[in-house]
Amino acid sequence: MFEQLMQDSLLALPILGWAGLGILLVCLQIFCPRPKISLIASVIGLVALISYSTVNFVSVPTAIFFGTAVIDANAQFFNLLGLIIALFTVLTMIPGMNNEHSKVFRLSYEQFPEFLICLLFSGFGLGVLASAIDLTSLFLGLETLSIGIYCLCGFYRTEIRSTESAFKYLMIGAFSTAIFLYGIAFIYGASGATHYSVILETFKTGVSPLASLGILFLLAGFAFKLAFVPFHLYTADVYEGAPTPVTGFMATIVKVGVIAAALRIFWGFLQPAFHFWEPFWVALCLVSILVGNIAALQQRSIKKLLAFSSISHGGFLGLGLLVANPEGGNLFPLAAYITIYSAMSLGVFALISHLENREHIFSVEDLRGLGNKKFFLSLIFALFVLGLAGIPPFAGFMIKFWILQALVQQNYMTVALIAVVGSIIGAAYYLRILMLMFMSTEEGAAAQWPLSKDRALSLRFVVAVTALITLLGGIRPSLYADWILHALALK
Amino acid sequence: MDNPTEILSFVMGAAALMPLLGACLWFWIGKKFGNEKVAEKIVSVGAVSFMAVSFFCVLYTFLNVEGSARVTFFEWIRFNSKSAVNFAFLLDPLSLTLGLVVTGIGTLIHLYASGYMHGDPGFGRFFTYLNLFVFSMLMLTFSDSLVGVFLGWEGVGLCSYFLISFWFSEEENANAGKKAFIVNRIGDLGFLIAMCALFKVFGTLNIPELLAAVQAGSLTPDQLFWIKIACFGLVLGATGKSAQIPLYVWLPDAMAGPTPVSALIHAATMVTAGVYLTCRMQPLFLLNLEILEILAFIGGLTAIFAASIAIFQNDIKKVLAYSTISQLGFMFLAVGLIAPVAAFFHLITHACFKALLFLGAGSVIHGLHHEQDMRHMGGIRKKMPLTFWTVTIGVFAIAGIPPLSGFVSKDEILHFTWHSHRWWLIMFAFTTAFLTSFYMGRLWVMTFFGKFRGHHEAHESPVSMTAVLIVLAILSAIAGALNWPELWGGSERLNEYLRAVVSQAAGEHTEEAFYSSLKLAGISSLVGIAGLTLAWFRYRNFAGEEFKAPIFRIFKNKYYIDEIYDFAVVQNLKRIGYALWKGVDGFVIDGFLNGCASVSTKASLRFRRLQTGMTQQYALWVWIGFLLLLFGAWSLR
Amino acid sequence: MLNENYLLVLVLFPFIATLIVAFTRGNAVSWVSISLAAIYFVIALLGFSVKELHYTAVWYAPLGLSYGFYLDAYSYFLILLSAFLTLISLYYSRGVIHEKLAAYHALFHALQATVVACLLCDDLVFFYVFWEAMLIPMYFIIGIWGGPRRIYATMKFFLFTFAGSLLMLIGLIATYVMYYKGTGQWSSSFHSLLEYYQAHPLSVETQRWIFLSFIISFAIKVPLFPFHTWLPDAHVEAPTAGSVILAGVLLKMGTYGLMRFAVPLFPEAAAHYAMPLCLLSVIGIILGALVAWRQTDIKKLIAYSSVSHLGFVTLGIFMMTEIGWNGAYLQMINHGISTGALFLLVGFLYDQRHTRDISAYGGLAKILPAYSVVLAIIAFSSVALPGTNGFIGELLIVIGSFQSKVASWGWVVAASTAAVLGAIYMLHLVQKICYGKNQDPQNEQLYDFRFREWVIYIPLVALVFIIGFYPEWLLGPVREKTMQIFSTIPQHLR
Repeated sequence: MFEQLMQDSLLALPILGWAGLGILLVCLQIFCPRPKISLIASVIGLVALISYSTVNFVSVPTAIFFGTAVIDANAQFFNLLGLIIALFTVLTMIPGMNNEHSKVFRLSYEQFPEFLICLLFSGFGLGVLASAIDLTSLFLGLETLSIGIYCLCGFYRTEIRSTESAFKYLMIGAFSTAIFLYGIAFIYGASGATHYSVILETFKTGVSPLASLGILFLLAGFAFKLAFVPFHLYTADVYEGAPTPVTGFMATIVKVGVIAAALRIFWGFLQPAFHFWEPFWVALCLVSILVGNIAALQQRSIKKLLAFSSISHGGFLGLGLLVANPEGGNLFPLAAYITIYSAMSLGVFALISHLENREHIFSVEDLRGLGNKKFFLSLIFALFVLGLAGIPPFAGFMIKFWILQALVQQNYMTVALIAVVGSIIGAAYYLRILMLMFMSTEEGAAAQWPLSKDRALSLRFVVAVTALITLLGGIRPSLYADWILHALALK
Repeated sequence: MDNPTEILSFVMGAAALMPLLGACLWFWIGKKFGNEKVAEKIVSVGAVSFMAVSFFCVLYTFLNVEGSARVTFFEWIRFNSKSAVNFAFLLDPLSLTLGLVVTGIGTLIHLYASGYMHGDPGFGRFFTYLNLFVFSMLMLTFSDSLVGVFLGWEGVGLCSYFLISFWFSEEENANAGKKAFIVNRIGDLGFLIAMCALFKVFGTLNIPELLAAVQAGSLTPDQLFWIKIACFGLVLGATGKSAQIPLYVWLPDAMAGPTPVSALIHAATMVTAGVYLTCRMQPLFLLNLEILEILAFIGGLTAIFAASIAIFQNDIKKVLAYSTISQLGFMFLAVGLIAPVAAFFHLITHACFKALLFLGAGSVIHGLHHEQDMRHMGGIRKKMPLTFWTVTIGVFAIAGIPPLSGFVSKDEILHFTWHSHRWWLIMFAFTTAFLTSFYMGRLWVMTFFGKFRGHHEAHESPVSMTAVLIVLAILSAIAGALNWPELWGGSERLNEYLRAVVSQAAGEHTEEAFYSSLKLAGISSLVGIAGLTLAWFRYRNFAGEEFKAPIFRIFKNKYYIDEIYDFAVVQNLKRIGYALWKGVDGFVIDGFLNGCASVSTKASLRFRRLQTGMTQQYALWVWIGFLLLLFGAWSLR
Repeated sequence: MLNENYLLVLVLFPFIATLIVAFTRGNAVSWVSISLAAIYFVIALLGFSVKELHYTAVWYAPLGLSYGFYLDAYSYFLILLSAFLTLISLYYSRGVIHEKLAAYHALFHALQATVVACLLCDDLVFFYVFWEAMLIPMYFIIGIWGGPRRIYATMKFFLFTFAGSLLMLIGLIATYVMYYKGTGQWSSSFHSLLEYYQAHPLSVETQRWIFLSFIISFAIKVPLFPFHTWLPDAHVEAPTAGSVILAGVLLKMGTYGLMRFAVPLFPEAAAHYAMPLCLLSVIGIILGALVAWRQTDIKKLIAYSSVSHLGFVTLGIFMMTEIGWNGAYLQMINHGISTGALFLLVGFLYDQRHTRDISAYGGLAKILPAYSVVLAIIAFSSVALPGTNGFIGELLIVIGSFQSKVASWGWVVAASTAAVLGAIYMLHLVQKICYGKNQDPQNEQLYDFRFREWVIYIPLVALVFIIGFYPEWLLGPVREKTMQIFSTIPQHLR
């Protein structure tokens, strides 16, 4: 039993690695509480984990830990993606730590290791979520992920907006976890088991009303996490308040986790009830694309605007989930979308954290005339904005194209049409940003804000990598496409 | 360079290209040396010599070509593998006669213009347009394909646009030019549609092939329908270019241009293009005779309509303009009655005496320092004897006094009208003949007789102008010999010459035919003399005003045709344009677009109001969202 | 030399040029960019004798996407036109644009790069990528160097075209997926799709709605009647060089798309929708001409005249006759030359007097004789006077479309009234600017053509007369290409 455990943990090293690194940092806090060392330790640890999981991919899916989790291509891919996102977030957070012009953050420099610990444990939650094939481990993973992020949101304790966002995220998160739990409970009640395969067997024979109620609750839980429209109201305030790198982390890691879990569930035990939940899911996705884009039109704060844009991207992810049935081999559009979307969001939020001045809300009007003063930075910003808008020849278009192609292939013609109409509306507010930066003659506030003196090499590295992916992703998709296909063993 | 077609192509190439070369030359010299004396000399001598060379080339070809010849220069537009349009000349009797008239009269008018335009700053520019006009007219006359004719057709329209608005600093000259071009364009639209119809039926636009295919006969009813459309188009084109009833309004305003322009373009050459085209495409018209009927009716109606207006005009050039429209009406009447040779004969004689009259009027205006209103002239026959005598010959010729050319050609047309037994055409023809002689008499008496009513003393024009007047006077006197009817011992040379190309009913040579033609000739000359004597007594001691009765206001304002056109067409087009712009574009389409934008902005404002910032409301929305899902599940169960 | 890698050079050179120009500092940037444009024009000229060139490299195998480049008569002459107009407009804006010069020139080269890539690509998806990418440089050109209302104009331009093309994306994906469903393997290269759809055409309904999605996008770009309101705003607010390229090249992409993709792929649908589309073209022609006549802003007048001209081109296309198509293609090139020249001429006045109001000018023939001669020639070329280039195109369209089996000849008669309406507004423009007396003393200081202007206008005027009197060098290759395309269209539609 012990060596079985040892074998499983060896297999699940990339997922357990998160927790190991977290515990290592906690011990470091006790012995030598200097933040710089824990920072270096966390970066090295993450890089080691990334290289380890890229090197040895477990090709044969094996259930571990007594059948509560499985290590297959999906789990490893999404875990790897989570690792990369975490690394990029840490690198973007570093300059935020020691910008000296406001003593408020000085205080938080000492607590930086706590930031790292919360980050790593929420990453661990993602790993568990990605590999869970049992409702309980699913719930566990989801909660560890969310709780980690609640703390990260409130990291700037002395700043009212940060704590407000953490508090709101906590309250609403708890509320919807209750709904999620209800779902699990009803499904357990209907099927008598928590393991996906057993539930699948019972659902194959017939979906009782109790089970369908459970499915609805489950759906609502996922919809909340992906911030679909009726459940999206928290996003704007939370994204606005949280420290900008954390917003980037939150916008990406939560979606990755939910996608990993939903992929297993939707095409697992929910498969027999496909005709039941499919219209709801399609309705949720389309409404969130349309309303997400429409709501973003009049947003004044940039982070709120990007929050709504992430809602509409969430809608596209939902559609990607819908078409990603493993037999049809259409997993690729979903995986490509989440990868490129994460890269672009991290890049944008890293750039905003570099440009912004925490004293007051970074509104879109401040961007006026940025093109004249900080031309290179605004050029990169324009690149990200065009990528997010899905305008060719950048990567943003390519991923939308693949999703639409998969939709048309499974003759969801009208769904594709409405999604396209949504991204037309979306183009309006992205263009407004470009227009403000380059075409207006007045001088906005952002142009005068002094950039932080220090080199911020880590942040520049993150922005450079993500900008390159967005720029070349459209014309040479094989850059990331082959890696995704190999990782998901679809080749 | 030995075989005849080589020489012909060289000669005809020279005939056409010399004016084009000249056009570029004079423009460059005019621009380079401004208007010093020497530049004027070079340009005038050069222009006249270039025109003379072109005339002699055409004369050479006229003498050396028997039957018809075809000379190709290079391929222009290739439609498909089978058919293409080339730059090529068709040298047959019809085109050569018109070519001779164009270049002959053109040379004389160039000579006259060098005197008339002396001292005008745009001297070089004027001769450029004049030479360009002759080039386009030659293209129109000699081209072997309808597209080539169309090139010449619109080329002359363009040059008349430039020449009418030559003194462009005055707004109304520019407007007159624009009006001429646009009305011509309406006619050209008809020509274009005719070309399309013919291409649809025959697959080619080369005139010889076209006419051969038509004469080959056995055409399906569908093909006949398209040929009818083509004929309608050609009639519209001809009425546009030759200023007939619906589209004549541009010719009177075209008098805004210098007088040599009016003489060359709006009397002798351009306006005859319509007659030439209808004669050239006669086989088509012979297939549907009802269109010829319409043509004859248009011709007759225009003749009497224009003549009735000419009587009331006080501007000497306006009188001549309406007289041209009326005489053209005569020609179309002849073409309509299947008498193209008579039409062509009248075309030639009309070119001579109308050019003479215009140039005479030009020298009168020149003498009276740009005075054009006849009420301020009178009694200048002593001051300008040469002009007086030459204009007298012109007036007698047009009035139809035997034995001058006008009488012979008009008599032939009256002869055909009489034998066509259509009483309304006969009525039109004879009343027009009377009215023509009356208003020409009026012009003659008002300008040269009675006491002088002008401001400046008249003086005779320089020799370069009067010499041309004398030559033209001689021409318009003896031109009748060209086609002197056999019945009266003539040899009808023009008839034989043109018979190869156009078909016309041959006259009998019996006794009573002779007597009836004599009777007819008597009537027509009587009508002419009566008109003149009436005018003599009416205007001998002309005081000042006339036709003051209110009824005459309709005639003085030219039946208000211009005002009707302007009100019915131009203003409405402007109103439609404005309505389309503000209404369709501004209100409907942009309204819809900006509407979408404002709707989405309002919706996004309402969504933003949802972000109240209070957590309880967020939780409430989560719950409502879930309720919606439940409701959906319940309704879908 | 003229093999596939010539195509590579043709595509990649403008991209490299954009980078070079973007990173040159100082005031040498305008000379560097003009010389690069000149070099590119020469490169384009080299390919004159080429009949057909293929270049395919795998872009992304699993989904059958491939870098297909395909050069033939249709794309070649448009590339030549765009290279020529870019060279001229960059040379023109030397004395006119002063701020952010590097960005200005870089954007023009980027615009040319995307246009050429779009013209050359044989792969549907790749065509779509650059079809959209064209909008970005134009968006910035109008937005940054434009007139007072540039923000509204450029936003409207971008969103309007972007919306239309996204609808085309759905149609495009449908064609590409139907191919996969039919043959079982992915390939988006246009030729394989074309052969497939000739062998077993789609059901009529799907063919119709896919054709509609293509038509909406191309109609917005052309612009066809109901979708044309972005054009006057975009033209009025764009800098002179910007509106030359916008009118000369970008509008032609719409008609090029129709001739290359929409009609050959779905001939039955094209025949089915021929009547409504001809109706829209004719409305566009008449509306464009009448509204142009009422404009007081010269640039808006020319913009509406472009709507009228291109309505004529689309009529030629939708009537589906071989001669009509030759005429339509020729008219695209002619419109590029004459409207490009008109915009340069207006820009010549605007950049000195800074007003586009037609009443501010008058009697310029005395002050600027050379200018008014060139304006008259270009005006008459755009009114399709025989002997100029406009006439050849119009003649071919009218004569060809008259025999169309797809729509009635009445449309051609209605459309050819454009000859009269065109004369009305163009002569109105020439008269208001050149004739009459000059009331405004400011007009006295206007300078006439110097060396710089002659270098621009001599080639343009020469082209007008060369195509007018000897069009065979352009018409020959286009005719063969049309014959080849029409051989694929079923007999009863031709």
